[in-house]
Order: sequence, then structure tokens, then C-alpha cells
Amino acid sequence: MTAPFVFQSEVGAVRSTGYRADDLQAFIHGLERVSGSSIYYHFFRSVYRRHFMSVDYVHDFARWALVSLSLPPLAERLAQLDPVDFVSIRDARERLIAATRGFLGGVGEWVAIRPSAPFYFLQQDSLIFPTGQVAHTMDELAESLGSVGNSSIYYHLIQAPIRLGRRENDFSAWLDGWGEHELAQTIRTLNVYRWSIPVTRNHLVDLVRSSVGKARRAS
Amino acid sequence: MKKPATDPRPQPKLDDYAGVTGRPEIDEIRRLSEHLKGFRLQHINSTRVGGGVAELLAAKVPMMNELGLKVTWDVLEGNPAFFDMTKSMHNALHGAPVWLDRESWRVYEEVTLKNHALPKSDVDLVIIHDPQPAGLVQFRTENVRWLWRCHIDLSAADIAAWAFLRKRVERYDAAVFHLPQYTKDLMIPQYLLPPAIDPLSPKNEDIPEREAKEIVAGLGIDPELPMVLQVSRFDYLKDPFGVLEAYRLASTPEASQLVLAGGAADDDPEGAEVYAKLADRASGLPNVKLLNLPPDSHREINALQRVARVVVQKSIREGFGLVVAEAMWKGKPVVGNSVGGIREQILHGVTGFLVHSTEGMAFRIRQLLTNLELNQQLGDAARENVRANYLFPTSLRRWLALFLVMQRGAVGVEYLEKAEVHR
Repeated sequence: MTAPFVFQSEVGAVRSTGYRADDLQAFIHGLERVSGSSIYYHFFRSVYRRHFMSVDYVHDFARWALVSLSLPPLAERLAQLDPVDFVSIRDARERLIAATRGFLGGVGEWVAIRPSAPFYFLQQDSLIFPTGQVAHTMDELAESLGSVGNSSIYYHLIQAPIRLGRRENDFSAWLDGWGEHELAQTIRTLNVYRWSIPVTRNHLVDLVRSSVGKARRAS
Repeated sequence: MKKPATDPRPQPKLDDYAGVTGRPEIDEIRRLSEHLKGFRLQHINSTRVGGGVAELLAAKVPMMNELGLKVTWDVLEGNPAFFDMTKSMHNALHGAPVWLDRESWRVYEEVTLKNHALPKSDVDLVIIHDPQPAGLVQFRTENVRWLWRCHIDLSAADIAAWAFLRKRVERYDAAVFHLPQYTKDLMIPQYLLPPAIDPLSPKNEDIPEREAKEIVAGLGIDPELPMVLQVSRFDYLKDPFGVLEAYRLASTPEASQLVLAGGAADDDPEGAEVYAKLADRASGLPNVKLLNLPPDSHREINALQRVARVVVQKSIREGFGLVVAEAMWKGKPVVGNSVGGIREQILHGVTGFLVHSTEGMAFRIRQLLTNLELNQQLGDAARENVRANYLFPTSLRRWLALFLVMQRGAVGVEYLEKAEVHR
């Protein structure tokens, strides 16, 4: 018997870590020392904060390199690190540091460049709470998907790999338990940047409904 | 001073916002608030009417009560000498060269002492807004948590004024600022909560296109001529002269107009001076219009923002600059100088453009006046940016999260309820 799908959502209080970077050395220093919550906020959570926009320079580090440092080569290196490719905050931190160090290694004389605005390292204290939507069947899953907020979709679809420590999302994991491997795989390979979260949610509803319809026709 | 006009319409309820945020977002706020049923909260500020803080509290307090929290709002009682002093302190905290003598501090302490009975001891949290009532923290009781909400930009604060305030702020449990650059080197946690706009207020509610054009025509502006707009006080810091120059440089083959709409300059001697100089400089330019509007011209500003093709904000310094979010909410791409909150709100190349010079602004004005496809694309993204980050319900959700985090002393990630979650 597969456990019901309990829709959760996330809220957070954002606070200052006290670290700020006025140059690239301080930026690396901050990346090395801030809490995992800070990397989470600037790197992973930015996908939620900017879900309505097209993909480039989605996370805060790349945007800072572009807008405040006016260093497109660094911005490109950082932007190439895509939050959805990571399953651990530690890996993300290491790759961000390596990308910045790699850039400095190539153009050491640029270290003295000052940003037009410092990078303020913030962090998020998060609270996870059930939305009240619980799905026991595929039909209920489709119905609930249509009525939970953006944050809940983000939590189960985009944030899940960080929580689970593997390339997986909560919907696919649950659907596998139901033997719905094809649908689970389709959702697993969904491009989360293709649409905004509300549109992605509608697409998920369509996918689940279509799968239910197909199963009914087959039986 | 003219009193702000009272909007005769009833205060919107939380459900009324479902039309702009979607029902699921409202349901989540309700669900979250269940964890705060009966949470006792007292707001204290220094004025009941007038100013952004009073407007904010007038809207937020009833809504939090609607959600089951027990929220009260009290106002510090001052006297003219106190308010003169705190006005000077406000300017000094904004970086103005103001000297506050010993007598000023005495007046501040005297009024603080007189209000010693104002903070309640039977609440869970006291929120003090801005520097005027900040000294009340000396009367805090052990069982109540205290939060200082700073609505002003402290990044260039006068050292003496900040030193005076800092001693008091460090006695709070936490402080809340609009932007990271306003935070200070403090020993207490500093949270960040950007302000938000009310999409149902007269300044932001939907107005049918025809009606918006009629309102604009009523202001003596041709609503059919492509419009570049800046809405701001007539103030050197808003750089209206720079806007004028940028517009002059951005000459396009298609006829257009520049509208500079500002607040009532009569109340402010410097504003009157700026307005007069601006009027003089614009006198020979047929397509430049200055609008000196009364402070309650919310619907007129709303209509102007809707009719404009490009909105600019060329401020040299800016607090948060919610006027940017207001224009973006109306689907307008904003070209803004890369300062303060403008830099936070505009995602360069996605929802508008950040510029660093008059020439840069001219280039972007020209681009957005002529490239209507780009204009539409950025404007649509701008509206969604506001929907996701700067609307009143989002702000309410963030506040509820902060109350819960403070109540629980949560750090990192915490589950509010133990649920059997599929993992």
C-alpha cells in the first residue's frame, strides 16, 4: 500500500549572515564560510524567486557578477552551474568556489575590480508545513496539483533533489510506488525552466489526468 | 498640511486578493496562519494617519486579525518639540548633515519616558516601527520578544545619530530592514523584508484602458501620444533634470512625450524650487509636461502608469522605490538608475533595464519606445516579477513566516508539523 501524497509547502525568513563581498577575494571568502542556508537561498531558492523569467543568470551569484561586477566571463562561468543539476549544497558550494577561483586564475590582474554594489550574503530560515492537500489516488493527485500554491510545486518538484540527496522529485517517487513508471519518468525529465511554476503545475495536472485516462481506456 | 483623502471603500479582505494571486496562494496563507492562532502582537509607531507606515498598518492589522492573530496598534504620544527632533534625527539617519544637541536627546528621552506604559506585557511580540518609538525598548519585559522594523535607509547614517539609536536597537531581539544594504553591524539578527504594493488600492487596481485614457486626457495629456513617464517628488535626488536630458537625447522618428508627475511641491520649499527650475527648463519643449498633483491623486497616477509606454526612475539615491513595482505591476518595463531598491526590483534585461548614466537611460528609452515587441515582453515579465515578489499577500506570508521563525527560534529548516511524508 503506497502512503498518501502529503502536499507540503515552504516559507522562509531571510536574514543577513553578516558577510558581504566588496571584491572577488571577499566573495570567495564568503562562499567558503557562509552557512548552507545561505548557499541554498542564493543558489537554489533563486529558481523559485525567478520562476517566471527565462533561464539565463537565474541565481544570485551569476547575476551579481553580471550586474554589479560587469564581468560577463565570470557571470557565464557561474551561470553555467545550474541549481537543478545539483543534489547537495556542499557540491554546489565547491563548484561555485572553483568557478570563481578558475576565473581569477585566468585573469589575476582583475582582482582589484570593485563591484558597483557589494554582494550581501543572506540566508533563509525555512519552515515546512502541510498545505492540507493529501492525495490517496491518481485522481486526487491531479486535483490537488491544481489547487496547491507555487511554493508547494517548487518544494516537491524542484527543491526535492536537495532534500533527497539524489536526482529525484517527490511526484516521481510517489508515482513509482503506484507502478506508474512511465509517468514518473516523464516528470523526472521535465524541464523546469520551460515554463513558470503555475504553467508547469497545469502541465503536471494534464500529464496525470492523461495517464489516468489512458489507464481507464486500457482497462 | 493637507490630510490624506479617506478612501470610502471598505478595507479588502484576504480572499479579495485571490483574483490577483490565485486561490492556492491565499489558501496557503490561511493554512500557515493556523500555526499562529491567538498569537498576540502589538505594533507601535508614531502616527495614526499619514505616511507609509500608518497606511501599511491600517491595511495589515485588520488582515492579521482576520487570520486569527490578536493584533493591536498603538501610537506613541509626542509633542511638537519631539517631532521636530525626530524629523531632524530622521534626516541625520538618511545622511543629512544635521547636528542634534544634548537638548534634542533630552526631549527624545522625556517623551519616551512619558510613554512608558504603552508597551504591553501580555503579548508575544512587540514590533516598534522606525526610530521615534525605538527607545521604548527600555521598558520591555522578559517574556515578550521585541522587533525593530526600520523603514528607512541607514546606509549613510550620521555617526552620532546612529550611535544614539544603536544603543537602543541592540536591546531588541531582532531588527527588520527593507534591503541588505540598509543593515548595520549589529549583534542581533537582522531580517530582510521588502515592502509590497497593494494591488487593490486606488493606486494599483485595474482601470479599463478607455477610462485610464480619459483620466489622462483630463490631466491635459494626450493619451494617444507614446509617453515616457517618471513619477516622483520634485526633488534633486530623483534627478528630473537628468530625465529631461535623457529624453532629449533619445529623439525618435515617432513623436512622443515626456511626463514628469510629482507630488505637491507647495509643502516643500526645495520641491517648489526644483519645480520652478524644471518648468523653466522645459518651457521651450512642447512634448514635455510637468504635473504637480495633490497627494491623493492615486487614481491619476495609476492611469498615467497604465497609459505610459516606458516608465523611468532616474533617482540618484532611492530607498526602496515602490513606485517601480507599481509601474511594473501595470505591465510596464522600467528603466531605472542602478541604485538602492531599484536595483533589487529590476532584473536587467528581463523586466526592464538598469542604467548608470543619462546616455544609458536615453538609449533604453529609445529602444523601448520603438521596439514594441521587446517592450511587451519585458512588461509582461515585470508584472509577473511583482506578482511573485512584491504584492501585499506575499508580504503577509513573509511576515507570518518571520513570526513563526522568531517564536520557534528556528534556524535552518524546521517542519511545522510531523506529517507522514512520502520520501
